[in-house]
Amino acid sequence: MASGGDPRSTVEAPDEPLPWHPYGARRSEFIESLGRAAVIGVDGECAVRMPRDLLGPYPSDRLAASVGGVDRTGEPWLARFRVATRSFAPVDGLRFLLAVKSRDLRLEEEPGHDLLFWADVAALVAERCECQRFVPSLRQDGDGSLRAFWRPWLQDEEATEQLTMLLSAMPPVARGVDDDLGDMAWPRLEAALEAMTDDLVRTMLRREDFIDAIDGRDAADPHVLWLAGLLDGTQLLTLEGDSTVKIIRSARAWISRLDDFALGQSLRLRLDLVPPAIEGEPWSLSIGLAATDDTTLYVTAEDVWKATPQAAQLAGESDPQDVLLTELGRAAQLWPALEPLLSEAMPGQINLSTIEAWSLLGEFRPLLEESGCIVAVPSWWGGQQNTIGLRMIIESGGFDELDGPPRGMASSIRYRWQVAVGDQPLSLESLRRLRDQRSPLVQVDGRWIEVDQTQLAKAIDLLERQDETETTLLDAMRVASEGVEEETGLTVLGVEAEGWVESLLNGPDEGAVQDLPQPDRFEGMLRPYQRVGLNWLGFLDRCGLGGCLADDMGLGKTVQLIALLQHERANDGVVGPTLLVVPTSVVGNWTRELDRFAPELTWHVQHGPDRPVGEAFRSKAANVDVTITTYALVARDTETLGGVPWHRVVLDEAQYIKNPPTKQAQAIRGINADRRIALTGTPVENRLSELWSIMEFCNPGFLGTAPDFRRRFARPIERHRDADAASSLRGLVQPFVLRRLKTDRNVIDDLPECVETREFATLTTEQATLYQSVVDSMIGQVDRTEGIQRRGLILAMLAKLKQICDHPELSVSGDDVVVAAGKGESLRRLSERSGKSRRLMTLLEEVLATGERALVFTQYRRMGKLLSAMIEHDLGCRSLFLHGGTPMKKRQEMIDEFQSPEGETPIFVLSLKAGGLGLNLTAANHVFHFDRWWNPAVERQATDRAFRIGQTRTVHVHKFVCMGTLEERIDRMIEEKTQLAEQIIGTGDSWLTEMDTRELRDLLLLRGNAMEVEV
Amino acid sequence: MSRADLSSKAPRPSRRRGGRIRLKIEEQQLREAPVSQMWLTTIESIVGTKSMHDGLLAAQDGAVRSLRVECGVISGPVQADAETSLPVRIELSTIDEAGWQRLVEAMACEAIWAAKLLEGEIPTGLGDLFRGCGTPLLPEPELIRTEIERGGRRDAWRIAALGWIASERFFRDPLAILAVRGLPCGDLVERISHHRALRTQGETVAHPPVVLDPAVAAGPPLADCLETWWRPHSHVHDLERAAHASHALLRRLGASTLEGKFPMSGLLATIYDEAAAEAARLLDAPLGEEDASD
Repeated sequence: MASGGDPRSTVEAPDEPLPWHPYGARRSEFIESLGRAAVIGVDGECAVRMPRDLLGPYPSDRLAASVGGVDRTGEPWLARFRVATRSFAPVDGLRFLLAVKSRDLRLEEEPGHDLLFWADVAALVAERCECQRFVPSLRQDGDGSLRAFWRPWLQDEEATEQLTMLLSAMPPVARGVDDDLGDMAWPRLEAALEAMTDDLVRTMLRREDFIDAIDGRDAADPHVLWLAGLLDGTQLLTLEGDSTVKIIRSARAWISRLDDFALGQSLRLRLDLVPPAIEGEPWSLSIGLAATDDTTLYVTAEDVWKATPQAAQLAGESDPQDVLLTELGRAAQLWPALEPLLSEAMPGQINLSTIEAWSLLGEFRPLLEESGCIVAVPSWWGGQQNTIGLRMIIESGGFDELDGPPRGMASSIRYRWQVAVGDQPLSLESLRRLRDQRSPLVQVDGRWIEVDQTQLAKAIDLLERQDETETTLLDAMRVASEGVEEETGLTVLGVEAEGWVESLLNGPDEGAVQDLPQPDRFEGMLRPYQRVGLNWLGFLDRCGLGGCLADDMGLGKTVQLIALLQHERANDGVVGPTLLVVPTSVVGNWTRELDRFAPELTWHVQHGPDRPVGEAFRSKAANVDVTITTYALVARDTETLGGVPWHRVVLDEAQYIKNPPTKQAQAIRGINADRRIALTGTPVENRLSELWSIMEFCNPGFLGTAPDFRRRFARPIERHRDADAASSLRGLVQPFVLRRLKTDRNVIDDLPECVETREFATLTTEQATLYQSVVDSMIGQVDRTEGIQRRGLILAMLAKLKQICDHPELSVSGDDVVVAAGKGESLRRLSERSGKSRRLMTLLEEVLATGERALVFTQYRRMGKLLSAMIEHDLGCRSLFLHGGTPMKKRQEMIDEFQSPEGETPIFVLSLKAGGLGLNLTAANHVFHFDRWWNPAVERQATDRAFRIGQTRTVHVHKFVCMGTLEERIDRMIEEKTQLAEQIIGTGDSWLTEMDTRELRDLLLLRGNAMEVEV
Repeated sequence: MSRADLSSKAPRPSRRRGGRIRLKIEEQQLREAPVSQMWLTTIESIVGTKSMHDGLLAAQDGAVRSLRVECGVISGPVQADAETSLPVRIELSTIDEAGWQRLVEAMACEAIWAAKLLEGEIPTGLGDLFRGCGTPLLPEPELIRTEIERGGRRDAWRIAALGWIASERFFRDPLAILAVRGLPCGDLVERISHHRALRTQGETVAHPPVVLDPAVAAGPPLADCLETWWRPHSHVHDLERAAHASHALLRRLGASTLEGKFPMSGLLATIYDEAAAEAARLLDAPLGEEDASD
């Protein structure tokens, strides 16, 4: 590029290479970010078009958000750049993208929207192939060469809907590559779909040597010719002259048979199957025509032949008789049982044998439907109430059986099978009668049921040699959860249990578990639903089973766990140590909550470079009730932590292990402990694999391997909204997950209207260093000055320290945060630089996951801007930001958007001065005070934006405090209502200026627990 | 002029009456219609003027019992006496593949050829185009062979009679001459379209195009997307998937129309099963079972 003047007016010199994009990852970073996928590609580079303005190229939204936004000048335009690439074979690209989609592959960076988009495309490719929706095709290129290839079949309504959705979602950057495919969205998408489909099928065919199937066959045979191109690696067909046109023409004619002839037509053939009133008599199948756009509007064939007004009205401009005959002829090609109708002058109805009816219901209905017919079948068809299945009957002892060492999932139980139709058990005699009828559809007590005779024979055999099977609870639950019993192939309809397993399956709400009293030493009062949680945790503990307490944020998961720790010590005497794994940002919260609610419990924080190891750690852990460590450390200290016989491992914010393949998640799952509890407000944030990961920690092996879980549950539920799979999974995990929402009837009555909690945060090293340096440098100056100058200095110092507690970026002069263009340095996430912001992001994530809305108050406008950027970067969510400079009109628009049920901005950042008064923001039920005003009245006024008339839910107020800093000490003074606190109220920070230097130093001094220790 | 217009103005076509075809169209009209005129000139140069005249009268009198127009052959029995008739054949050489290829390439250059042929009309200048490609629309008389079973020189009027009846067929369906010369009009149009697709789109394919809303398929202009460059314009959500019958597409396709002998459907059924299983494996564990759990 030439330099000087308006860069838009410059032209690229033909021999000059394109400039590298300054925000494109360097090759080494790029390759590293691909993780394990990086090994399968070839390095290269390509030209891309990216937006830029006079200041330079734009960074991506996420990169910009990670540093608080970028400055822009003038109108942007598209410019060409070079970026590093890694090329994959299409099938390897497919694997990579599917791994991104399923989170099997841990990338070093969060995948961008374009990568996620292509991952969705890859999923579509694999799913079309999985359900056999692909076809062989031919292409002749401009140079005359003829190629055979496999292509997804995209000419059905389902595919059209998916394609439209994908094209609408395609981020523009996905079209930014400057190549022959141009700007249009569809050619690029089509090329990707085709390349991945072809390579998926072709790779498999080559691996399995399918080419051998045509070895030695007549090479001039058009089938052999085409197959040679489909099975081989080259795709090329060797043909001359008219042969090319002929083979393409013939292939086109053949493939055109898949055209939905009814597409674009206003009428479709409708088939109505009606069972006989008396078993043994024929089934009736009548034909007619239905409106394509509303299939409930239809006329019978009789109407059509008699040309009734109804038929004429439905047909509109079409000739209904022609349509009926054409469509009937086409349907008869697919299902020959219809052929007798064609020999009638005015076909309308046909009788079917039971076997013919069954073949229509099971085999031909989907085929006819996807060819454009409407097949109306009895409503009972396909329901569990009309198929024979198995129910597992588990027999276990009473609660006494649980005495002794808990065996958890290894506990012995006995089970037997019961054959049933829906919830109605069938006796052996009834089954034999069904077998003797030898019919695939029979009536039992007036209800039609489908009978697979092979399965029935196996079921009879199973019952005839019915023995109670003794197995482990884990195996029984897994067999029940498989959905299909292996030996008979029959569907498992459900599980019934007696004894303690019944209590387990019924869950805590049924009152089957033992009611535990609130521990005597618990400092406070457990709410009723928290007592239920304690009972449930106690029951699982007794069974030796792991569980996930997944109550909504603010319902008190911490206190329920603390109460459990107290309960077992009060009842069981000597109890082994508990390992508590938490995010770094909540270590302080836990120590405070333990001290507050259970001061008798001893704890040790295993963190920092001086943490004990080996025997010293074992000894330390053995002598305290709770050892608190962090997620980051578990992976590093696997050996140290593994040397302790833990009584229990508890994960707080268990969503931290949501990515199953991470070393961290694997290390945590590998910790040896008798009991396991996961605490999280969001057991599933994005994908069901997160639930698998948590359950794999709680009860290893219970949900099978990750691929197995994906096949059985994750894909059917996530991709296809499979209600049966969802119900099955719900039934399976229900005993081990207790989740109460704030809106639950049982909970809402127990909750006060406003719940206030302190959110304690640590300082990052950067914050702590800045804090200490400000105290060190300014306290001396304060000591050397007097009067107004001294007071001014103290106020300036306090403001500086409060800002540092908020975020180190606030201590940097200047209003805006600008991306360091072109330096190529690794930009750290903004939220990671502050303990408070990191904690806030975690809490906001839970707010978003539950579909709630929040207000975030800060005193500092720049902090508000940073928070907005972090929310966008970390949570992928746009937020509103109201400050003193927001015009009145804009302010009202923001309020309206936030309050609107359809609004897409669930988080509202407000400066305390601009947003603390006069606004009605009752759509929020969470209020976060990111920094403190030290005046409860001012904070209350801000809180009242949400907690006011019109608010129908409990409002959760979260007040952030940096531990070990002036924030904590002032907060404690206010909480304890000291005399000093009385002085504080209503005076802002001015009272602090009256302190002598010694008092001031004591107030400001950074305590040892303030800093998050780097490990 | 469309075929419909033509037929509305044309005289009543010949109809078989008691196993005879009578020529109904006036000689003048036949001599003015492009293909018929060319055809009659060629036949006349073979049989001579007198036989041509006799043949006209015989054709008008219903001497030709039936007419078959096939690739390279026009044939039909022509009356011998009240009870019998003699089979008559006029054999024309067909245009070879290389010739058709030249013609297709030439006709693919201009849309008018395919457009007119699709309308059922003989495009003006078709004869010139054929000649220009070295393949006249009708072969030279010396390349036309006539044959009358058990007939002699005096029976040339029979050839002319068959020629007159054939000219009436060409009057009504001038494009039938293409089939006689080796390539039915539909096939020619398809080949022209194929070549045109190659020229205009750079490729031609056997599968149908996907029909999408053009605005969605194009996407908004990139220049209008600079402020939202990195963001998806909407979210992809999961769809409920309809039940798909096993081998549904293959069963709907039915037996191949490619006239191959190799049992392709059987092999495809296996391929569909194996590919479906492969796709399921990839969806469950894209990086393989071992990788997924490490």
